[in-house]
Amino acid sequence: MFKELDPLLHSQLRLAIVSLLMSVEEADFVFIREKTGATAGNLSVQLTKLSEAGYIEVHRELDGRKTRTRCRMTAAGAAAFEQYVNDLQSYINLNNDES
Amino acid sequence: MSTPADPRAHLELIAEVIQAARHQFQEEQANFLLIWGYGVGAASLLHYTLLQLAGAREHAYAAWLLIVPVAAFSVYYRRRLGRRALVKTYPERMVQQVWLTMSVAMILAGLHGPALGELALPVLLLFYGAGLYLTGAAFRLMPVRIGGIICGVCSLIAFRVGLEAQLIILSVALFAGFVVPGHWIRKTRRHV
Repeated sequence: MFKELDPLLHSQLRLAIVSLLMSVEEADFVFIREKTGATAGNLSVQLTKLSEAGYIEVHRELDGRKTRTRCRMTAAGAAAFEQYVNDLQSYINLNNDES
Repeated sequence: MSTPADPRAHLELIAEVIQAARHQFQEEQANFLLIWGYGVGAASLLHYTLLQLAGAREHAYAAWLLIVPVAAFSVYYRRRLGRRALVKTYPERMVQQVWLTMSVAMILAGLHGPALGELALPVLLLFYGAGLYLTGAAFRLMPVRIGGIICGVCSLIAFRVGLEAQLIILSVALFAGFVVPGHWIRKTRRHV
């Protein structure tokens, strides 16, 4: 039986953000933008969605005249990511068995 | 809920992003190798030079006071780098903890300097070698790991010779283990 996927992670950009944050302790907005190739506006929207879902923590702080945004995974986000990867793998295995 | 259009593509994306981010290494980290390599190397050579001067021989150990500004600058630089960093990685945190542990161990060993006598510098070199090897392993930097092995080998030699030869060995080990890999990293690695 196919287990449906978490829609929040089933978007390329949000999945890339979460994958990135899974592999580092903390990342700056600029770093995530560079690595994902997303526009600042789109990235900001996706970060807000992930943050509202409790998957990531977003901290904003003043650094001189600039505001810096730092992001890190939460335990809930890490668990959701692991579940998503497991679900993807089961889907692939299911397809392999059927073919 | 969604069904996967191409689950393999999603898994590939995950693997790609994780691979790209996992071994992030700030070029500026190499500056710590240079700060400590040049700093401790200079103190060691100064100690050796003072031992050669008849009038200064008695106070030659004062050369190690040079470490105080080196350590102060290193702490200042660490804090500055931490504020500017765009990413914090787990290997970086691990390496910081390794050197913090090594520093405490070296200070504790240093407090027993008189009791250790001529074993003090080889022990110091052994700590350097261990810290360096772990740093190279964490960041996957082979020249740094080799530097750690060189420090370890130099330490073994230093256990068997007198103080003056130890100071020369320490300088050579720091040059090979810290300064050379430090410059190599600065030359070959890009900014994050």
